[in-house]
This record gives sequence, structure tokens and C-alpha cells, in this order.
Amino acid sequence: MNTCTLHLDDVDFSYKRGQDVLSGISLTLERGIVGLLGPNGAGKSTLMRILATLAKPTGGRVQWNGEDIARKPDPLRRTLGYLPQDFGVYPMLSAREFLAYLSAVKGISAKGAAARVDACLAQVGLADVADRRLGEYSGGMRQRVGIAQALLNDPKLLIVDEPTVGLDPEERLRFRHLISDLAADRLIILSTHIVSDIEASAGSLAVMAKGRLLFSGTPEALIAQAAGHVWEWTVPEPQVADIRARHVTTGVHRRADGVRLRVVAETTPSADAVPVAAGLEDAHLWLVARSENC
Amino acid sequence: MEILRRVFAIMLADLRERTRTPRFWVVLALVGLGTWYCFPGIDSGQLAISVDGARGRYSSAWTGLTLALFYSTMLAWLGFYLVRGTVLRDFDTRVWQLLVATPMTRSGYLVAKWASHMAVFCCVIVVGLAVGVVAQFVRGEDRAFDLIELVKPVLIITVPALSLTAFFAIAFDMVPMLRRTGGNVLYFFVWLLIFAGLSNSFSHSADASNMQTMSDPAGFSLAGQSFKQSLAHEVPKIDWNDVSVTIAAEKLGGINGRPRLFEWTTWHVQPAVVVGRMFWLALGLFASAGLAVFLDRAAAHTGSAPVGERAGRQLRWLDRALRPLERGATGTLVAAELRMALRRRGLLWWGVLLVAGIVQLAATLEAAMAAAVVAWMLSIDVHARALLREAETRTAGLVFTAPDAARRLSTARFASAVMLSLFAVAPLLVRALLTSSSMLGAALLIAAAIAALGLACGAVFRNPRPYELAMAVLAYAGVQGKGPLAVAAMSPAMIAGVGIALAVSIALVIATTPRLAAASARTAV
Repeated sequence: MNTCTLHLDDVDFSYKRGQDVLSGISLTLERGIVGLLGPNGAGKSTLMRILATLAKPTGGRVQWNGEDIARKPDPLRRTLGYLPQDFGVYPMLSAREFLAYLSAVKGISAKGAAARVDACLAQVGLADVADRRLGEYSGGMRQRVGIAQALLNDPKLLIVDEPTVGLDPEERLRFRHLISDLAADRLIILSTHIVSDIEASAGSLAVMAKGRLLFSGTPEALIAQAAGHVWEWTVPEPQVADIRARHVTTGVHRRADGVRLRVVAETTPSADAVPVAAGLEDAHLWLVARSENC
Repeated sequence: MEILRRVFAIMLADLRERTRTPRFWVVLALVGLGTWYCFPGIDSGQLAISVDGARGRYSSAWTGLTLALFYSTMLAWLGFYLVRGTVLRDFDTRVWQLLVATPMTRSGYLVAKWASHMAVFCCVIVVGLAVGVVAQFVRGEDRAFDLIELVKPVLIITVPALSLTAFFAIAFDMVPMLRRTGGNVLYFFVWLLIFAGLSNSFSHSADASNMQTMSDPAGFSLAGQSFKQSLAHEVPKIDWNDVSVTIAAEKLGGINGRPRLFEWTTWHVQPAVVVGRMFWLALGLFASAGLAVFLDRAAAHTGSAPVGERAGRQLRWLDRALRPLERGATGTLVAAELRMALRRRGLLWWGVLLVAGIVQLAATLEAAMAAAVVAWMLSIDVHARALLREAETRTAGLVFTAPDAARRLSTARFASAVMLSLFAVAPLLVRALLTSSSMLGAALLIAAAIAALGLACGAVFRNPRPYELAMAVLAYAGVQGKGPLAVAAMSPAMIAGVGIALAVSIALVIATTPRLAAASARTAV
């Protein structure tokens, strides 16, 4: 039996007032990196919270290696690493003390905790400042502490929600390498707005909009869907606003001869427009735009 | 007009924010219920507003006056805890950073906050008046309804008193030391001094024949003078200055345990008296606006502001002392809890603890008891907020995704809270060990009960204020050698009561912590 199987079966989530946040999400995920993409309000964070056992679905079920996580959250929690989108830290504690504290909360034996804390701090590049208190850390350093705590119990399921927010380009690169290294023997769910993060590391993708799952598959399959629907051409500056109002624009480059626009559209948006190869960002926007038009 | 529009917009946003929480409506319902008990029946032998053991018949005027005096004292106290926190919320949520970049003036902002607090008080008062009218008709002592006589005392007595409460709510939000538990406890004593203490001095200086323009903030001396002027000739043998808010069975005088009644259908208010009351109203308003000069400094000292300032003290001796604890998982958690509790303490805190410790060890037993109460009060913020930390620090997502985290944490927090309580009175424990085993037992029991009660209140109310409020009242009694915090003066019944409180608190913590954890987790992003 595969020890990293997460199965979502017709998962719904709605608030008591009846507002639907998630509707009929069915998906099976196995080891490797899964990128979760979608516009704001798509329901990504709610789905992440359900998978992290912080919320229970109002319909359907989620199974981790065959166990329903709403009924029995502890088997998942023992092997879960979770980095929320927004989280706090205890400013009075040093990074080492904070991670030791969370190790104890996670039930990691005291014997192995110290070594594990050191290893996680080294993985995120904080070993040198591990004894400085978190109140003195910058935003990016705190984000790295968040990543380190998610790795403490060597999780089989790692859920990271907008992990690279606040990281500088070098740190972002380090993070990409880190999760690529980790992906060999675990399932990593990576939710982000930054398509390049997913492009660089995810082996499969799930795209959501308005609480529904629009796509599940490989990045190549998603890109293939957008083939023939991405166009580029150069227009005078005054026309840009009008074109942007009518088409989903994925790129704008100002040049000496005008503005080079890149749009996704069903048919050619202008006689001058030339079809170009689709990228992941084009394909994502194409899919979301098409779902909104349906 | 633009300024007024801004003030109104801030006031409205605040009011919306408050009224959209269930807590606000629960408080209103409780106020309505509490107000009903301000109008006990004639046969109950109880009084809410007592004038030397007598009261007026329940006319519109007496109903209004009862509510006015009740609210100018009780709402001036409890209302502080209801309204405070909106300025701090703007700092903590960083909304202040959005507001400060607008043309809004600092004083305009604070006036809006004052107005917002007053609007909340008005909501409470309206509910109270409605209940008062129902009570007047149900009791049936005087069914003539007079809206002006009903509302007049509230407008003249209560609203100016609450203006000061609104000011204190703003001022306490601005002083970093008073923003949370420290302010909640201190306000009880400020209230005692200003609203209860001043009424005595005004009453005793009141001229028997002429109404004085100035009256105490709560309006007790004004009520006393008004009674004296209107009723002294008709109803002799009553000390008209002896006006008090009370719920007391079998009060003074009366026949067959019934209070004496007098007629009070109209309140004649002289313009000078109204001017005197407007002084308190204006004082609250202008003092609030005057805080504007400190606003930027106050905003700079927030939880989100300067990097480094929130890291607290290193306390290397504490690290060394806690090292043996860290051999096991629970010990690691307890050690971390104690570090978090103690590193944030300033020099003043340690200084007060040191002085309290010396007094516990070396002074008279009465002084030692009072010092123990002070020492316990120094840590009540830890007990009150221990189980609320994940909600307050946005760490629920990190913590409650761990297996069995709620149980591990509540165990560690209870242990660390008890250790902190014992640490606060360690000198008294040493003294008791040498002199009195019963005092030692009482001190150990109280220390555990204080910690457990704090955790239980936090878990049940999901708010530290009820516990802080209760502890302020108990501390007030305790420093006078009374109540359950008076270590050396406890009767067996009191010891049994504290023991029961400890057991119930522990049971409540065990029962409610999983739900609290689930609620914190739901709000985690």
C-alpha cells in the first residue's frame, strides 16, 4: 500500500449562513509535489485547512492512507507538516526554543528533538541565528522558521500555503530546491499565486476557481489545453486599456514602437496578433477565464 | 462638516464591528436581566438604590433615577471592560496605518472613539430604560408614565459619568503598560477612587439648603441634595446623604422587613446643576481629544511595531534553572511557558515582586498577606491568557495540527501557571513552613486555585477580562484581609470553597479546552 495517498471524495465546505466555499472536490494525490493554483477566493486556503485538519468538510470526505481525517485526525497529524499562509510566532523565544516547543507539542521524543531542530534550522539556513529571539527576526526569517517547523516531524504530507511570501529571490530559490529534495518520499501540496514556484517544482497541478476543481493533471497537460489560444502583438499605448478590458492579458511590455501585449483568447484578438507558445501562467489564466465565461 | 463626517464614519465602523459579535448581544441581554433586579418587589425586603434604607415608589421619575445611579456606578465600572480595546485593535490590526495616512486629525480620531464608546453605553441604557418601564408597570406602585422624568436622570447623571469611563477606556488603550491585564486591574481601583470615593467627599461637603453646582462624577451627592431639598420636610428621620447602590436583603428600617417608601414623581433640576454635570461630560470629551498629543507615540508601541522590542529579556539564570525540566516533552513545554511568561516582564515587575517577597518574609502577618495578594496579581495575565495564546498570536495553525496538542498544552500550561503562582508567594510559603502548616496548606491551595480559575475562565469566556475583573475584586478584599485570597484568615468553609473552585476549574479546563482549540483552529488562516 502506498503510504502517501490523499483521497478527496466529493468534498464540500459551506458556512452556516449557506455560503458555499468548496463544492464537489474529488481528487487523489500521491507522493511528489502538487501545485494548487487559483485566483483569490477560489477556496484554496479552505481546502488546505481541511487537509491540515483545522476544518472539517461539510460534505464528502478526505482520506489519508484510507483513514477518514475528519473522524480520526491523529494518524494524519502525526505525519503532517503544515505551513499556514499567515501565522504568528512567540517573540520571547529563540528560533531553537520555539522549534523545541513545537517538537514537544508534536510529540517528538525529547531525545531526538534537539538534533531534529538543529537539522531543520540548517535546512532553512537559520543555524547561525538560531539563538536569537524571534522578536528580532525579519519577516523573511520568520517565514523560514515557519518552513522549519513544518519539517520537524519529517512529515509524509507537507502542506505549504503561500510559502515564498516575504522571501527574497535567493531564499525563494533555496526553498524551491528544498522542497524538490524533500519530494522524493512524501506528498507536498504547494498552494501559491506565484506560478513560477509551481513551474519550477510541481510534478502535477490542481487548478481551482469559485470553490470548484477546474483541472487536475500535469503542467504539460494544462499547457496543452491553452495551445493556440495565446497571442502577441504590438499596439499603440492609447489602445492598451481598451484591449485589456476585452481580453485576458498575461503580459505587457512597453517598447519603443508601442506596447507588446500577450493575451489569451478563443480566437485571434486582432489581425496583427500572432499565435505564440503557451506557458503555464497563460494556461492557468486561460482555464480560469474559460470557467468564468461558462 | 468634513470633520464630523469622519468622526461619524469611525464611530459607525466601530459600532458595526462591535454589534456584529454575539458577545455584544449577550452583554445587552445580561444588562437587561441585571436591570430587572434593580426593581425588587416591596415584599422582597431588598433594595437596589437605598436612601438610608428607604426608596421611592416605582414612578417614572424614581425608575429613571434608579437606573441613572445604578448605571453611573456599575456601568461606569463594568462598561469600561465592555468598550475598551478599539484603539488598541486599530493598532494591532494595523488599521491605524491606513487611517494615519488620511487627512483625519488625531484629536478627531479620539473624539470618534469617545463617541463610539458613548454610543455603546447609550445602547445599554436604552435596553435598561425599556426594562425599567416594564418593571414599573409590573410592580404597579405608580403606573403613571412620564417619558421626560424617566429619561432626565439618565441624561443628567449617567451620561456625564460615562463620559469619564469612555475617556479612561481610550487612555488605558494608549498606555502600553495598561493595555491588557494591568489596565483591567488598575481600572477597578481608579473606579473605586473616582466614582465611589469622590461621592463621599462631595456628599459630606454638600450644603443642606442650597444645591451645589458641582457634584461627584457618579451623581450621588446630587441625588442626595435633591432628596434633601424636596423631601426633608415631608419625610424626616432619613439621612438623605446616605444614598447607595446595593442589593441587600432585610435592609434598615421599614415594617416587617419592608423598606420605607416615599413619593418621588418629579425631579426639579436647576440649570446650574446641569452646567455642573456638563463639566464632567466635557471633561471626558476634551480629555479624550487631548490625548492626541500622545497618539503617535502610543501607536509606535504596538505588538506589530518595532522589531526587537518584543523580544523581552534574556534571563540566562532562568534558562539554567529550567534546563533540568527540559529532559521530557512535557517539561520542555512547561519550560517554554515559563520563559514566555517571565521574559516579557520589565524591571518594575521584578522590583514589585522583590518588594512583595521581602514583605511576605519579614513584615507582620497582615502585611505579608497583602503582599502575597499583590504578588499573585502580578501574574494573573499569564493565567487569564494562557489558553488564549494561539488565538492571540496566530499560532493555532502551527500548534493544533499536532496530535493531541490541546491536552499536552493545557497540562503544561496548568503546571506552569501553578508554578508561577507558587513562585510569587515562595517567601510566604517558607514563612508558613516554619510557623503554620494550615497557612501553608491554604497558600498552596489558593495558588493552585488562582491558576486553575484563570485557565478555566479563559477557556469558558474566551476572553481574559472576566477573570481579571474577578481577581481585581478578590484582591481588593484580600488586601483588607477578607475573602478567599486572605491566606491567614481563611475559615474552614472558605478553604472548602476554594477547594471546590479548584476542582471545578480543573474540570472546566479539561472539558472546554478541546472546543477552545477547535475554535482557535477554525480561525487560523
